[in-house]
Amino acid sequence: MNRQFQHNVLILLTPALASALLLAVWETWVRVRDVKEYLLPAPSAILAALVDDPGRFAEGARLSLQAAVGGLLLASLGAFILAVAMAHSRALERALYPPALALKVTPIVAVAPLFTIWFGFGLAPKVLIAAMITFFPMLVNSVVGLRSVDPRAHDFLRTINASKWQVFWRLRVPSSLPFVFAGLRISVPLSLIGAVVAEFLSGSNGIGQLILIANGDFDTPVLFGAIFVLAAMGILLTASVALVERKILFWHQSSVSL
Amino acid sequence: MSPESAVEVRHLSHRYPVGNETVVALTGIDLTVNDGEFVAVIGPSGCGKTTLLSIIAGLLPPTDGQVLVFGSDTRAAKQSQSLGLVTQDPGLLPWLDVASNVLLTLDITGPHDDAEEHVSELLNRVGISRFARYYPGQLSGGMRQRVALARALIHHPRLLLMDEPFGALDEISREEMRFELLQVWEQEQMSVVFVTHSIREAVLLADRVVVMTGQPGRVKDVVEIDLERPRTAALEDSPRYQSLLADVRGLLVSGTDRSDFVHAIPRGRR
Repeated sequence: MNRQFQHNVLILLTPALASALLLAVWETWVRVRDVKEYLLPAPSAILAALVDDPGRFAEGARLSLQAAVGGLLLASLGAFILAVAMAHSRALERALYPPALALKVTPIVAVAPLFTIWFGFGLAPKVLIAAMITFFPMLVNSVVGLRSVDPRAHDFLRTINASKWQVFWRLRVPSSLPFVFAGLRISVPLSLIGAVVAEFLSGSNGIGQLILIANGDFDTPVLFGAIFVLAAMGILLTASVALVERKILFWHQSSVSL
Repeated sequence: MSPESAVEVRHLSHRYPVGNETVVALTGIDLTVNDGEFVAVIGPSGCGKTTLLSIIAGLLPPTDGQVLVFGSDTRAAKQSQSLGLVTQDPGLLPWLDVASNVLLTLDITGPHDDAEEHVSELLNRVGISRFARYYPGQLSGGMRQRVALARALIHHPRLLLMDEPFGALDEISREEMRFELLQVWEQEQMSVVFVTHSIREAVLLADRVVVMTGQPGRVKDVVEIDLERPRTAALEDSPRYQSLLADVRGLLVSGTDRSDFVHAIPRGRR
């Protein structure tokens, strides 16, 4: 067994052991103290709830993930396009920044019911709410990124008569990517919040609705199951972003860890 | 204007506002660089030598006066791809490997049939062919500067503009790079404007050394360097070299008040 392999095993094994230990303490405590299940179910009871109807959780996760990822992509694309305009012109930046900021500081829970009135109970309002909550961090990071061009590289391109278009694609866009990915890391958990909040308020299908129903039924094991599924979704999304980031930003110092 | 001059700077001034005040970076600059000539520009920190280079490169519009590059304004020189630029911090693109960084110029200036071949030939010439697939972040400062030189030479510019290109390098790399640059210059038959704060470097490399003084930046004097070519490291022992060195040093010391000079030279540009 070589050292690198040992190192990898250790990296995976340590947190796994820590989690196992935590669950064991939890399980023991609930059993020994005979804690009521509706207050705090044992991990075994949560697992039983998950295994009892896995399809229900999977379907909820799929719908919520769809909304979160859809919203995140929509926001990222929209924010980047707007950022290009704002990075290009200070006047546009001054004009567009206040409404963008207003959108950010408005509590999402206050706006969500309106989206249900406008767009109904389907995927659309959920995607829009997830997009709304992730739009601002993506915008700010994209603007800063598009402006963070190495002036020396820019000078060089100008002396060889590169067009604005060439400078944009060859220099500006790649330079912005570390910032765009920083924005994505912030936005991934936000997008999940957006999706779940939308489901709370509109009652449309998804993990949020599952939580709402389980809460109403005092079905705490299912409630915990939904929370675990949600956490797993967050980890999955964050890890996916980190993976893509490491592939694309191999040249940048930030691309070392999650 | 004589047709053979590469750069013709006439009555050039440059001012810029800082807060409520106006800083005069350059005033009354007259300078001619002949075709094929190697001109070094030396002066204390803040004397405007980098500003002068930026104006010649067309990166900065002068406040007053005129700059002609090969007889027309710098825009035309850029359009005909006659300029090459190497700066102290070379500004390579970190997401491209060495070969792609060098190829970038050809990508931008238009299609070339034997571009790849040309790149590998040039990398070979500046001694980095082994590193063609490396990324800038994996290279030492000296290697990166060689990449910058290759990138600036790939389209055969007629005028190479260099702003303290070896300023951030260790002494051993600087020494190597100086003579490599001279070799390339002799092969390519181009003109060079070389901004430096090293007196030795200026005298060792150039045909003429333009000595500038600061606040406001102006040309103090121009020293003809009548040392034989090709220049070698052995030249540094010759009495003629030593006396030229003393001439340039003397101009720099008298060109500014002494305390400022002592302060300005070792600190470097930044």
